[in-house]
Amino acid sequence: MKIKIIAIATAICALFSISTYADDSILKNLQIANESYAAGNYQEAESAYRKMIESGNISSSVLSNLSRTVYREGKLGEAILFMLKAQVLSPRDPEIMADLKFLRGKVIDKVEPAKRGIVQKISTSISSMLSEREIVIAMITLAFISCLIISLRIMMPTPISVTYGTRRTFTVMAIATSILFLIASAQWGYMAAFTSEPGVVSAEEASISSGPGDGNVVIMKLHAGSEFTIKFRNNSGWTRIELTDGRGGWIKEEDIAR
Amino acid sequence: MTKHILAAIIAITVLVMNSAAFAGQIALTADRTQLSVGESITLSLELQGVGDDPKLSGTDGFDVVESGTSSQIQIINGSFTSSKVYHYKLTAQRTGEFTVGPATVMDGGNRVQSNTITVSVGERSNVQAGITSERNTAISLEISNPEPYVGEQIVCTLRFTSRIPIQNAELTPPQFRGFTKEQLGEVAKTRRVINGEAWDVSEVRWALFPSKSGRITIDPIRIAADVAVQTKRRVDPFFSNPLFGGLQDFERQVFATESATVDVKDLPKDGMPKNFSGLVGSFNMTSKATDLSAKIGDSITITTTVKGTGQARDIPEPTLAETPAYRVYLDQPSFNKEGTSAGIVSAKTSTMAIVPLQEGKIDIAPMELNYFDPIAKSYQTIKSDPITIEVKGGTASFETGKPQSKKGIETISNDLMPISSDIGARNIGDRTSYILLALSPALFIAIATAIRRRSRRISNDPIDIRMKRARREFAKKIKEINDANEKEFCKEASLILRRFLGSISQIDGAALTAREIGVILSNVGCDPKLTEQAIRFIEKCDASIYGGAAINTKEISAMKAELSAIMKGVKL
Repeated sequence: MKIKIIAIATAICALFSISTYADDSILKNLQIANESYAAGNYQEAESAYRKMIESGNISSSVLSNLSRTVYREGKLGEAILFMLKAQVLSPRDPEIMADLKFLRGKVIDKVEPAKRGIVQKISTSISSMLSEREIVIAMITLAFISCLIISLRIMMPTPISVTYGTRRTFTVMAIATSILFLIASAQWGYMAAFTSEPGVVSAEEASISSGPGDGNVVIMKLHAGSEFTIKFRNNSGWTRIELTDGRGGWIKEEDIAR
Repeated sequence: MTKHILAAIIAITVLVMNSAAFAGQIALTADRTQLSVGESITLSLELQGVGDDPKLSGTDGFDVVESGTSSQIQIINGSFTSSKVYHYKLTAQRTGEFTVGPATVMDGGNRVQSNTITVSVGERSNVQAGITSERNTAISLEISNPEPYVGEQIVCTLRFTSRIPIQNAELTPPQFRGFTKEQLGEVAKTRRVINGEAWDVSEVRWALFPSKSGRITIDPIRIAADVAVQTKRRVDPFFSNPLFGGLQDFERQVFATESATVDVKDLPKDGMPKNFSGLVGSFNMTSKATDLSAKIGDSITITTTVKGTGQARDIPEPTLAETPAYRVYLDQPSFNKEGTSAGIVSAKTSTMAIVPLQEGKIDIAPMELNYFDPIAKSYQTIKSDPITIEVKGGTASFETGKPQSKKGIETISNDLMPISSDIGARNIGDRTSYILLALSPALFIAIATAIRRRSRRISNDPIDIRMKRARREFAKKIKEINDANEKEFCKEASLILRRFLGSISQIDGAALTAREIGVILSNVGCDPKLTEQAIRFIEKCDASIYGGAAINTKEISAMKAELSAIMKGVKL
């Protein structure tokens, strides 16, 4: 028994030290990139932030700093794309919200959002308040709590030794926590399954065609910073997109912010 | 005879008087006298009491179209007059000063002439930019000065002209990167006649102040509007009657101007004052005091107003150093802006209160302001008039309690937030591990369910539990049996079987005889063959223990297997 306790404690300490080391490493790289930004070396800073993202060190700060850097280089589309990604990780961050509003104010095109269903509206409201990480943590916590309560309820002795009121309290708690768990799971499932990849126009002016290929009819033109969702990428360098008002078409891959 | 002559003279006089009273009048009027090439004016020629068929001269330089006549009858004090008005539309073909008229008409052999009208025709106005006979709409962007200095005000005019119905027009707010902008009033809508057609002209103007030198491009400005198009539908003539508003199809279209470039020049370094205010434009300054004589402790307000064509907010605050002779309290400045078609004229009025602290003269030094005049292309310095205040009498026993006035914090421009130095929120990574973690607590429920079932089973079927427990316990003992020594083996094997049968019967089975074992097994309904087998087993063991019967190793293995079979076969 003692050996088991020591083994578990050692594993927890190891996990903690690994995560602390990982955080220190990210902070160090972030600091280097920030110094380049502060010195006005925006290309260097952009390269450093992109390297962090490619190596898996993705955080809201890295993405938002990259957004601000590419904006200084005049790339409005890329700036909006990275700021959108930062907002997904940290939806309540006021600085990210303010910067996204500022960047969107620079966009020429005005697109009215289409009407959404109730499920979409609820999911979007939750996504705007909680990040995916927070929803997952809530979901796991609720899973443990509800299962624990259900287990205790199952193992509860007969009514003779435990009052009916206590059993009912446990039953209600079990139902309530289970419902919250299901809501959190449904939201996470919806986010994972139905949230489309966002895209932003990077070119000053991009043609949107009725089909993939230069021979198709140009149905509209979008300008730098216009947002859309990516539906499908084909292998010939064209991407099927959809605007928030429901209109869609095909855009060249090179005109999309990366 | 004399009477006849007198009557004739009177008649002739009356006739002449009457004819004088009814003498023909011909008057030429115009709706306006200034226009541009391509625009039209309407001339009205009124003939009163004269003949008909007037001839209009002096129309060289105009395209003349007769646009009908109208008649008018007036009865004033019993006298009856009638007039006829001829209307002409004159479209200017070239620039210049023209004398239109006179118009002449023959009236019974007499030539009657009208007045003339002087008309000024200027260059074709930008209103007509882009207008052709083939197009129904035109959009243009005009810059008042394409080569301004940094900070110099220029006016950008967006003009949209249409001769067909337009509705729901939406202007995409232009960015004007590189400029500070102020819109000059609301959209101005007029109707003009160009080349004989009525056009609706909408104009919106901005005052722009370039914030940096170099070439700045003003991006195309867009207007989206619903434009009337020829309806393809078959329409009931009743409903297409204009009296009832008509039916038209409208199509959403976007109009965009060309981009415009402005080459902004740096302010010249030569002649720039050391304390240059940064103002560019044309300014004047006035300064006045509420009173030129005061007592100690009285407050005198000095109001300085700077007015000009630059940005009022850039005008620096007047400063006045405090001395032992007086205290100075600055008030919040006020701004006034007036937008005209030529741009913004702004004024900044600064007020300060001066409280004398001792008798004597206070000389308020003239306030200076320097600015760059882009028209004169030089730096100018203007000064206010000096003010002298006579202070006599009074006491300064209190701190005149006008606190330092505060100014609102002005937003100069917007920019991104500073970069973050902390890690921020991390991404979630691999989702599979989280799914497994979320499902793992279900084990609690499974374990709890198993425990609950077991306890229920125990409380419902104790015999079954007892059987299983006994089998498990004695199966373990069989494994540990000492089969090296035949006597020891037999002792342990018979004890195991006896105790097993005793435990399921809830008695101490160590002392059971073979016969008693047979009775127990029969009582519980055990298979007779198995009962016989169990009895034989015990007897064999007893024979070996007490009778010395020999058992070889092979038999020991067989007996071990037989013992396990007996224990498994016993059912209650």
